[in-house]
Amino acid sequence: MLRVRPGRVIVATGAAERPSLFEGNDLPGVMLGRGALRLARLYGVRPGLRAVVYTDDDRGWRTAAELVAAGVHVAAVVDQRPAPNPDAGDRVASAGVEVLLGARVLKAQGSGALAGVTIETPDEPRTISCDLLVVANRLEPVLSLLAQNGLRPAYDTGLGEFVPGDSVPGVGVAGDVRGPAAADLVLEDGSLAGLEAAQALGFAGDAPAPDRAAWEARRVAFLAARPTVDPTRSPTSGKQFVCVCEDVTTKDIKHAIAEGFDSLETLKRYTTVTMGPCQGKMCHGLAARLHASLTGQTPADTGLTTSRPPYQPVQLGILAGPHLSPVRRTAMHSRHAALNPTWMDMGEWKRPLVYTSIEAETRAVHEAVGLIDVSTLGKLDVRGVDAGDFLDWLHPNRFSDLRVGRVRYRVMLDDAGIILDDGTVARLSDDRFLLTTTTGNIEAIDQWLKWWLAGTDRDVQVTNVTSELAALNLAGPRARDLLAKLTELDVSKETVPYLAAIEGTVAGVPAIVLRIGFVGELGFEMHFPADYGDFLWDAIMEAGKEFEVQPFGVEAQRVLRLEKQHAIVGQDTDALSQPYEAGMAWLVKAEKPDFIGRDALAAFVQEGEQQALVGFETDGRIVPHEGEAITRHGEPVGRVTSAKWSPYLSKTIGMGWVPVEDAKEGATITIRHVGEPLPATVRLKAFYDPEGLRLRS
Amino acid sequence: LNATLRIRRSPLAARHVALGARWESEVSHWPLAYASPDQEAAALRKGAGLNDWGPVDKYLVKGPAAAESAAAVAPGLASGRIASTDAGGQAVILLRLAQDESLFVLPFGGPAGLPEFLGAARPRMVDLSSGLSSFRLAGPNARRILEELCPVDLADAVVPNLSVLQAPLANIHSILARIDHAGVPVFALFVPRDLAEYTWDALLASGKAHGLVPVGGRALDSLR
Repeated sequence: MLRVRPGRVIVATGAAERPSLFEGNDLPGVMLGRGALRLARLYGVRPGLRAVVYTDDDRGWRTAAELVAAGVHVAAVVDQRPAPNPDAGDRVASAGVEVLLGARVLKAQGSGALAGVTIETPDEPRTISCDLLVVANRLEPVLSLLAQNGLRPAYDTGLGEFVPGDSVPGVGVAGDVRGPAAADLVLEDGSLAGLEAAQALGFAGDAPAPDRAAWEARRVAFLAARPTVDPTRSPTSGKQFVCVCEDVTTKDIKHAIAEGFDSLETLKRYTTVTMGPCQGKMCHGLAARLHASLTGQTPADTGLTTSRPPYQPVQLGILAGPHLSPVRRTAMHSRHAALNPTWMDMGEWKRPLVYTSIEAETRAVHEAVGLIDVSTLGKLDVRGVDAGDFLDWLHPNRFSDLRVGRVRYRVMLDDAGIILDDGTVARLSDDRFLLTTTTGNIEAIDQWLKWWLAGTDRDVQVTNVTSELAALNLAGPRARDLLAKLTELDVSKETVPYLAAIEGTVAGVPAIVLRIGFVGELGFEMHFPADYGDFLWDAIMEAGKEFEVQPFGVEAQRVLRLEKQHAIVGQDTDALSQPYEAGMAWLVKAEKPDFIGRDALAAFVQEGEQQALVGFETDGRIVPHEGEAITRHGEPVGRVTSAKWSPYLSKTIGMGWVPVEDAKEGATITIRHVGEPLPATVRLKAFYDPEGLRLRS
Repeated sequence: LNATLRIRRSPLAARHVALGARWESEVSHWPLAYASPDQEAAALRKGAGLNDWGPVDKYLVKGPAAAESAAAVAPGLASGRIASTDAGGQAVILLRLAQDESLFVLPFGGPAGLPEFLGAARPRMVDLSSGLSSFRLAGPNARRILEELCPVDLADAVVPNLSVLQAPLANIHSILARIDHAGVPVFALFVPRDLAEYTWDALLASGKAHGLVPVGGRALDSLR
């Protein structure tokens, strides 16, 4: 997540459509202009066969022309203005659309759906049959966010709109939120607002001062040519909806005022107008104007009701329902609790962060044997005749050629070649694989596999077995001796080398044992039915006494993996990280026929690497914060993703992204640590056991 | 090492200990009863009882094998329906979750695990005996308690006896199976094991107002 603290904010929330008041304005077939055009342009759906467009602005004429282009027969444009701009109607007229000026829609007719509209004209009333009535009025500024920020909307009498009133320090506005303007005026407004902000913050350099006065003059001229129409005028008394969310009609508003709710705020509370799921987006301005006209005031007198968060609706249950936040506990939870560790929340999971001390726990792993509960790893059972090929398709490397009894590292990419997730794949038989994912990713990766499986005839079944299999990692030079004491399996180096996967029983519990090592020492990762979690933990701790076994927590694990420069996906990588820059080029088998992300990777190769994920160390005990900038000449060029003090190595180590030219062994980089420069040295190889001899021992 | 000594524990073992549970056996830590099975049965008949139903073996089958294996146990069973049968001398409850997804529940386990007669589908069965924790929520108020935590309509007409659905329960994914005992409504709930304590606590908290009490397996058996 990025947190930005700007010196100045420019709000450009634009403008929204305003519905019209007429009888039957809730009938299916009555639509707003943008809605009708969205159906046509975005979904390719013709919103109706025969349309009438109702408007008080040139927008209506443009909307009519676009509807014609979308294949809708537009019977008429009904414009409330007696004389629109001369150039507005060209395209419409050439399409043979009848134009009614100074006219108003009185009633939408039809039972259950629109069948026609009754129109009041300067001459005599007309009825036009149609199945679509598009209401495309002048847009209304969207002021809610500004109002919530302390800015009071003001009514501009000349404009006939509520617009941003007195300014709030540090907040500027631009665009349609100021009120209607021509496109070139809006663009210029944006440039001016940007320039004004830059000047206020001293970034404008020698750019000329923005000429806001000249812009204002042009805008006034533009508006003078566009007289406004009172949107609340309505000569009939039938049912006319002001607020469709809350079913509030003009009649409800009249009655409420007659009953004494004649202040806008009490009227709102009494009728619930503007309080529906759309939070007044459709009716905020309309209700205020209607209230003003019914009480003999002007909108300037009554103002708008207070805008309150949320701008988007939130379910009440989320705010006020019972507190039901799921908590996941591993099968060994009670054993951890008995050791009174410092806990951490990892998503919904509870995990021990530290039992005793990072120093003691990392030392135990390096010199004796440590035990860590890794049950929170996501686990997927992938089986079926096509399982190997399916995994090949989902990954940049291969699994179809993985031998039974072997494990391979996996990194998954999305279509854009970005790293999604990592873990391991173990082949347990010809058509059965156990795949592990990072802790937080299991649901997404489960869905990802099922998504790519859907609609294919591949014989593959994917089952989430995260809850079924508890997992323990036994790591350290004495791990093998301890395991051998608990199993009849031959766990010798010759039979079970690095990256082997075997099945058997450990302390009588059926288990899958993987020889892998995230923490850089000889390690065995055991997956077994979770109902035996406590039992197996106890058995290992009991049998491990003579080997000085010690539980270690997530913090020690993070230090240990950093000593090996093992990246954590999602911490050391982000939504822009691709495997070449992340130092995983060795993993990509570009010669494979096809896999997800392949085309994107080819493009990355062409572009070349811009940055690189590298290790670094600093002198002394200052530990940079994760997320701090790596700078060059004071400008940020990279960032720290991980940094820890390693008590075992007695130095500060870390990983971070640097420009590719700095990704050289021994290069000096500068970290901006709490505002001060901190020199660091790039290290491309693991800080501990760079040859991996201990891992493979 | 003596493999027969390995202890299989309910994810709620700590909760049960705190309630003074008596275990099913030395190597199977599920509650047979707490203080008094008779009192638990009475409370259940009056309001509702929550039971940690285990150690129950569960096997999930997906894909074409789901239909084949379902046909071997209960031919013609429709999606969303449950068959409780005796097959190959072993009690089997088949939950037909979908056309291509079947869950086999073996309430009494068995030395050989899965019955042989499932034949060709066996290699496709994924053991979820630990992974899915199962509770039974029984009694006249069972439905009302569930409805406070589940957005789905659980009325008799929608979820009759021997039907199964997947639905959110206290904001997590669950399988809800209606398996009445002698006319008393019983919902068997299946949730991920690591969420068992959370679900148990949420059910007991929301069921308090409806007379919900934890009950051992004995109280449930007394309904038969």
